[in-house]
Amino acid sequence: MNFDRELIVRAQAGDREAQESLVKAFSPMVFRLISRFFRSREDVEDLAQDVFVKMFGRIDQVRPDENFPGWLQRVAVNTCYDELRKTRRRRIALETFGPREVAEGIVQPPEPQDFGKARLALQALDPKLRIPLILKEVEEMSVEEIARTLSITETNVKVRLFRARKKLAASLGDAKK
Amino acid sequence: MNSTLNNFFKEERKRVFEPGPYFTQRVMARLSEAVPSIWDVIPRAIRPVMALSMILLFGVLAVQILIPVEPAGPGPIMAVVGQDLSSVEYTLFVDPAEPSAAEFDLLDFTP
Repeated sequence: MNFDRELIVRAQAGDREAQESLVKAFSPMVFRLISRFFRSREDVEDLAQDVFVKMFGRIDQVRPDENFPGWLQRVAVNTCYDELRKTRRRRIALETFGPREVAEGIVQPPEPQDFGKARLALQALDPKLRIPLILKEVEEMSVEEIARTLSITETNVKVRLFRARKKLAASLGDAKK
Repeated sequence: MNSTLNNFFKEERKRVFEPGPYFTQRVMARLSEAVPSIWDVIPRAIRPVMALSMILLFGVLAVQILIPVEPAGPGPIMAVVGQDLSSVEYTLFVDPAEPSAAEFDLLDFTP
């Protein structure tokens, strides 16, 4: 990705114009990445704002010569991971203790039945498995890129991908029976 | 992986939200609202040293406050009151040093 590295130095010094330029330059990338994990526009926009606020909060950690887009991707994925974990906890609590009407009242957008099953199976996966799988299959990242983004080893990525695929196949197999 | 999943992932690739026209302004507004804490003012390189020194400081303060210090001597009040006590009473109630078994046997407890 092409951008003026001078912008980072200026943004680190508190230059608002440079900060705005960075947001403009990287918001499509951040939106695309968050869209992979969240389906509502409001969620994506809120999380994208959080990512940029975090980015400016930690921008003095960034060296102008390092891979800034990669670093920002890491911030975005970690923000999504935290949110997915929170959402999962809320969903489990709701399913366990909440009234049944709440879960039944959710209106799903129309989509092919098989895709609906696949989406539900994907949503049921632990974020630890779901994130690498989406980065690999939807974002089409290499194992090495995923390892760098999630700050884990390549072997760990492969193991998580294997487990995620196995669980997905099992859930879809169960759904077909 | 089965074809349903492959097709599903293909469809997911197309589903992307674009930032709205006011997104940048919203981020900048949030940044202006954010009030920096004292921690943000401290340069990042100094933060670990500051954190360690704060932990040590609070540790020492906690020890000072929570663990009572036993006085070395009898204290000013007992020093005055102790003058009116017999040697037995002094040994039993005032003297900070514990008497040895031999010294204890020598004490005369008769009133």
